[in-house]
Amino acid sequence: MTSISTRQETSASHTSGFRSALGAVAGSNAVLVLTAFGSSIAIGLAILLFLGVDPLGALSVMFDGAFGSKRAIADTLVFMTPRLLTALAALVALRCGFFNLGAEGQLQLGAIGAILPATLLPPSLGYLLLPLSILCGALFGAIWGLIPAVLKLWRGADEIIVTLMMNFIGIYLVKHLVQGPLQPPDSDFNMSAKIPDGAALPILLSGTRLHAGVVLALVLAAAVWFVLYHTPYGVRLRAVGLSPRAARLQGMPLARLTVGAMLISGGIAGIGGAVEVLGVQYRLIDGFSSHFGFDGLAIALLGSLEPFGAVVVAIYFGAINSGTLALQSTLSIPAALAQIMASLPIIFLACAHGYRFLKGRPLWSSTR
Amino acid sequence: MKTRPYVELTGVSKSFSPGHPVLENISLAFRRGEIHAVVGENGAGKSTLLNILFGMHQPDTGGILLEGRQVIHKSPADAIANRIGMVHQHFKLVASFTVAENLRLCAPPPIRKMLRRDADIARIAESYGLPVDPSAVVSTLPLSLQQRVEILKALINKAELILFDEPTTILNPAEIGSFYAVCRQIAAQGRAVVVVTHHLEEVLANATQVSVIRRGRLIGSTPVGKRTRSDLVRDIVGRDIDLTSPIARAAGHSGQIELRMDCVDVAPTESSSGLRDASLILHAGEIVGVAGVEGNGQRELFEVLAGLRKPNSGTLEARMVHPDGRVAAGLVPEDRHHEGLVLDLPISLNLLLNRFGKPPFTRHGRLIHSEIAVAAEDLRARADVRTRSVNITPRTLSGGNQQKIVLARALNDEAPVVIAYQPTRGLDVAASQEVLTRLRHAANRGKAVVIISSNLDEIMRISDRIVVLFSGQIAGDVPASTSREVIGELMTLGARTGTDRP
Amino acid sequence: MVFDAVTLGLFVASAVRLAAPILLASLGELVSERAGVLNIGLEGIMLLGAFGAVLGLQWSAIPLVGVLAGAVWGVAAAGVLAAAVAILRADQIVTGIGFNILALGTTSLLRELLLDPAFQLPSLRGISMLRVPYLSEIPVLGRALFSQSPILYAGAAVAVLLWLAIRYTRAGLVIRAVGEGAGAADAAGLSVVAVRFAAMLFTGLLAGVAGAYLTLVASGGIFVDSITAGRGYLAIAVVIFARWNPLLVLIASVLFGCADALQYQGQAIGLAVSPPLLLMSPFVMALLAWVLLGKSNAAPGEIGVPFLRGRK
Repeated sequence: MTSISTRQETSASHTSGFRSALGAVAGSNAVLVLTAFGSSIAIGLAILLFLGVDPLGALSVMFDGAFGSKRAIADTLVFMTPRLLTALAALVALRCGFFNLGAEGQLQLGAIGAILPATLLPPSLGYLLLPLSILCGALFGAIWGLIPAVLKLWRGADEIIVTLMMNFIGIYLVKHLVQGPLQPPDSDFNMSAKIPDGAALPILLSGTRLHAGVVLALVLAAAVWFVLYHTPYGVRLRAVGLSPRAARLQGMPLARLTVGAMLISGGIAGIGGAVEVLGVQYRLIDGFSSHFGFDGLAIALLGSLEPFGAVVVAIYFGAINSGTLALQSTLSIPAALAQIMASLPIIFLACAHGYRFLKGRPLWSSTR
Repeated sequence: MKTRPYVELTGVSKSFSPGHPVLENISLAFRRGEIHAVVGENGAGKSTLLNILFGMHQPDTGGILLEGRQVIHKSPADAIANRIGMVHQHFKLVASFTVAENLRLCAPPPIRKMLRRDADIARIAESYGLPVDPSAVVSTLPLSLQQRVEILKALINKAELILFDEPTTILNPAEIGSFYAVCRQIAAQGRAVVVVTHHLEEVLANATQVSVIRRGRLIGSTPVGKRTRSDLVRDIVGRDIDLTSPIARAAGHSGQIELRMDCVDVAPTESSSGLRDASLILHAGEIVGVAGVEGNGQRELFEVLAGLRKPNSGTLEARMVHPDGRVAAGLVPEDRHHEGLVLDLPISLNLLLNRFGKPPFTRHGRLIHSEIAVAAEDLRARADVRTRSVNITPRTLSGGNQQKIVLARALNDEAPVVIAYQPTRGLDVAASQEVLTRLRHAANRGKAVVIISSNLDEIMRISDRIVVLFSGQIAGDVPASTSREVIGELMTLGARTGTDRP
Repeated sequence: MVFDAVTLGLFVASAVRLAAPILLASLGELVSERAGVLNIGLEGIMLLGAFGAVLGLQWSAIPLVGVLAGAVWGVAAAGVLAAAVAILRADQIVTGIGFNILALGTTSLLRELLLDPAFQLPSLRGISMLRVPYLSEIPVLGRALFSQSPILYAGAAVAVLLWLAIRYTRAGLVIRAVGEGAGAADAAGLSVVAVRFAAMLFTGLLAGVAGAYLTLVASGGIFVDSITAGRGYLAIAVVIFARWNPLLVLIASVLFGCADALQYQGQAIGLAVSPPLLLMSPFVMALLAWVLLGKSNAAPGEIGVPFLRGRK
C-alpha cells in the first residue's frame, strides 16, 4: 500500500502542478487564455494575408461557416462533440491526478464497443439498439481506461507512457477489425457494415448533421461539473488530484478513487467514440478520429480543467474546423489551417505557464 | 588586526515578491580560518543569504566582494569558479550515480584528470581526512556519508569558502561532533566556513564568529567568545523569551488507555532504520514526546500510528477506530504543504477535510455548501486563522496560519488521539509557542497526544513522558524531568544497560 | 511453411530498410530522454524533417542536399520545441502534443504552397543504396544487410558511438546527470538548460534525417501529409522497450522493422498475420516492457520534469 502511494506521489505531482497552475490562473488570468487564442487567430490571419487572401473577408467566411446559419452552427456543434467528450475524459482524470493521455485509445475502443451491438445484434431490436450501443461503447472505453489505472496501482507503471502506447494499440485494433472481422464479405473498403436505423443517434434538426450526441455531450459536461463541485465524491477526487498525500492522510482511498476516475474518464471517451460512430459515420471506419483524443487533452487544459471552460474551448475547436472547411470550399484555402489555429493556443499557453513557473510565482512554486 | 575578509556582502537586499523583503541591506564579512555561524528564526533569510553567495539567487541591490573585488554570481558555476562551495540542506547529489561519478561531475577540467581512477579518488578523499568508497552508489549511503561526499565536492573544487545550510539536522550527536571536527580542520587549513543553523548549543561550542539575522536584517556579527545562549535568543527573537521552561499542564492523566502499540516491526530502508520491536502506550490526557534524530524510525512510527502503513509484524489497538480499521486520530503531519493541507482547495474544505462527507455537510450525496461555510467560519474564528475569507486557498497564508488550520482540524475531530509529527517545523517562535499551547490544552481536555519531534527542547518542554527512538527501537521511556544529557545519550547510543531489551 | 533463401533475404533487407527511420528517431529520442526531456514532439520533428528534405531536394535536385535540408529542418524544429520546453519550462507532454498537431498542419499547408507535384525526381540511388564491398557478397544476408542506404549505416554507427559516449565520456556523464538529478547538476555548476537544449537539438538532427530517409529513401522523394504515420510515437516506444540503451535500440528497431516488413511480405514467407496487428505489436511490446520490467534504474529519474533552480 505504501509503495503504491509513493509511486503515486511522483507522477501525481506532475499533473497536480500543471493542474494547480492552470487552476490558479483560471480566475485571475483569463487574460492569458484570451491572449493565447487571440494571437493564434492573428497568426491564422497573417497566414491568410501571406496566401494573398483578404484576411477580414476570410474571417467573415470562416465565421459564416461556423455560425452563419443553422447548418453552420450544427456543423460546429458536431465537430465540437467528440472533442468535448475527450476533453471531459481528460479533465476527470487530470483532476484526480492521473495524466490520462489515452483518450484517443479509449475513444477508439468506444467506437468498437458501439459498433458491435449495433451491427451484430438483430436490427429487430429497433431503438433498443441505440442505448445498448452507447453503453457498450462506454463500457469498452472504461475498460481501456481501467487498464492504465490498474497497471499504475499494481506495477507502478507511469500512466503517461501506458496510455500513450494504448492509444496506438486501440488505433491498430480498429484498423484490424475493419480490414478483417468486421468488414462485410462483399466489401473491399476498410470499414464495417452500416448500422441499422435503430442504432443511429436521431438527427435533431432536419437538413443538418446535428445529432442527439451533441446534447449528450453537453449534459455530460454539466454532470461532470455537478459531481466535481457538489458531491463529496468530487471533493475527494479533486483532493487526491491536488495533494494525494494529504488526501491519504484523511483516509481517502487513493486506489479506489483513481480506478473510479479512470472508469469515468475512459467511459466518457468511449461515449465520444460511440457518438462518432452512431451519429456521424454510421459505421466503423479506419481513421475516423482526427486526433480527437489529443485535441481533447489540449481543450481540457485550455479550459483550465473546468467542464464549462472545456465547452467553450471545444466550441472554438469546432468552429475552427467548420470555418476552415468553409474557407476551403469557397476560397480553396487548405484546411490544414485548422490544425495550425487549433494547436497554437495550447503551445502558447503551455509556454506562458512554464514561464510563470520559472519565475517562481508563489502560487505554484511549492507544488511541481 | 583582522585580515581582509575572503568574501564580503555589501548592502545586500532581496525580495521575491514586491513589498516583502527577505533580506534588507545586509553587510557581512567572512574570513579565512573562521567558523562563522549564521543564526536566526525560520524565515529570517539565512538560507537566502547562502543562496545569494552561491549564485542560486541574485541580490536586488548590493553585491559580493571577493578579496575586495566586486564579483557577480549569476549561477552556481560562477560561485564555484570563485572558490565557493556549498553543502545544501537537501544534498545536491545524483542519487543513482556512484560517489566517483558525482565527484567527477563537479570537478573542473584540470582536476578531472586526477579523478579518472577510483583509486585516485579514494586517495584524495583520504588525504582530506574524509574517507569514502568511490564505487558506492550515493542513494545507498547513510546521510552522514552523503554529507561527506558533498564536503569532498567542495574541497575538490578548491573551495576557499564553504557554506553549510543546516548541516546537523540529519546527524546524531556523535556525528555532529565529528562534523564540527571536520569544520575546524577545514578552517585550520586557512579556509572560511559558514554554517547556517538554529542549534545554539552547537554555535556556542564550535563557531568562532556568530551573526544574527532577524526578519531579513542583520542584528549583529560578533565573535562567539562573549556570547551566551540567552543573549543570542534575545537577538534572534527580538525580545526576552523563555524557551526552556515547561508549558503549564493539568495535573495527572485519567489512566484510560487510548492506544497501545505492541512489538511493531517495520523493515528499514536506505534513508531510515525502520522500526524494531517498538511498543508504546498512550493514556488519555497525557502528552508523550518521541525524541530522536531524524531517520531513526520517526516517519514509520507516524505512519503506523496514523494507519498509513501496515507494520510487518506487531499489533496496534485503540479504544476508538475508524470503520476501515485505522486508529481514530487527529493528525498533524510533518509536511504541512503536501500532507497537512490541500493547498488548492479552499480553507473551508481544508478545515473540514476529515468530515465534509458526513452530515450535516453532505446530505443525499450532495454537498451542503451553506453548512460547510458556517462550520468552517466557526472553526476559523476559534482557531484564530488570520485570513480575509475561508473561501480562498491557504496557499498565500503564513506558515503559522497554515498550521493553525491543520491543528484546528486535528483537534476538532471527535477522535481521542492526536498524533503530531514535527508540529512546529518551519514556524517562528511565536507560532511554535501557540502550536504547543494548543496541543497542551487538548491534552488537558483529555486527548491523548503523541508528539514526534527531533527538536529536543520542544519535547522536553511539553511532554509528560519522553520516549527516545534510536535506530528504530524504543531506547528509553523516561519521565519529562529526565536531564537533557541522559536523553541526548539515549539518542546517540541507544538503550543503556538498565533499560536494555534482550 | 516453406520459404527459400531469396525470400528470406528480401525479407531481411526490407526489415532493415524499414528499421532505419525508427532507429534514427529512437536514438535521437534516447538522448533527449537521457537528459530528462520526454520529447513527445518527435513525431512533429520527423514530419518537418521529411518535408524539409523534399523541399531541399526540389530546390537543389541533389539528394544529399535533401538529406541535409531534412537535418536542418529537424534541428530548427527541435530548436523551437526546446525553446518552449527547456528554456520556458513549458509542460513537455502538452507542448509536444500541440507541436505535433502544429507540424501536421504546417507541413500540409506548406506542401500545397511550396512543393511541385510534377517535380522530375533525380536519381536517389546515391543516398538509398551503398553496396559495401566484399560484405555484400556474402550469400543471402550479405546482400540484405550490406546493400542498404548509407544513412542506415550511419545510424548503426551512431548507435554504437552513442553507447560509448553515454558510458565513457564527460558529455555522457553530464547528460545522464541532468536527466537523473537536475538539481545536483545545477549545483555542480552545469547548465541544465543548455544541456537539455543541446540534447533536444541533437534529437532534432537525427529525427530530421529520419524524416528525410522516410521521404527520400523509403518513398522515393514524395512527401504526403502525415507521412510519418505515428513513427515518432513508435520511436518513443522503442526507447522504452530498449531500456534507454542505444545498442538495444539498434536491435529493437530491426525487430520492429521486421514487424513492418511482415505486412508486405508476410504472405511470401508463409505468415498470414493481419498487418494492423503486426503494426500494433511494437506498442504492445513496449507496454509489456514498461509494465513488466518496471521503472527500474534504466529510466532517467527526472524524465518529464521541468527544471527549477532552488527546488528541493
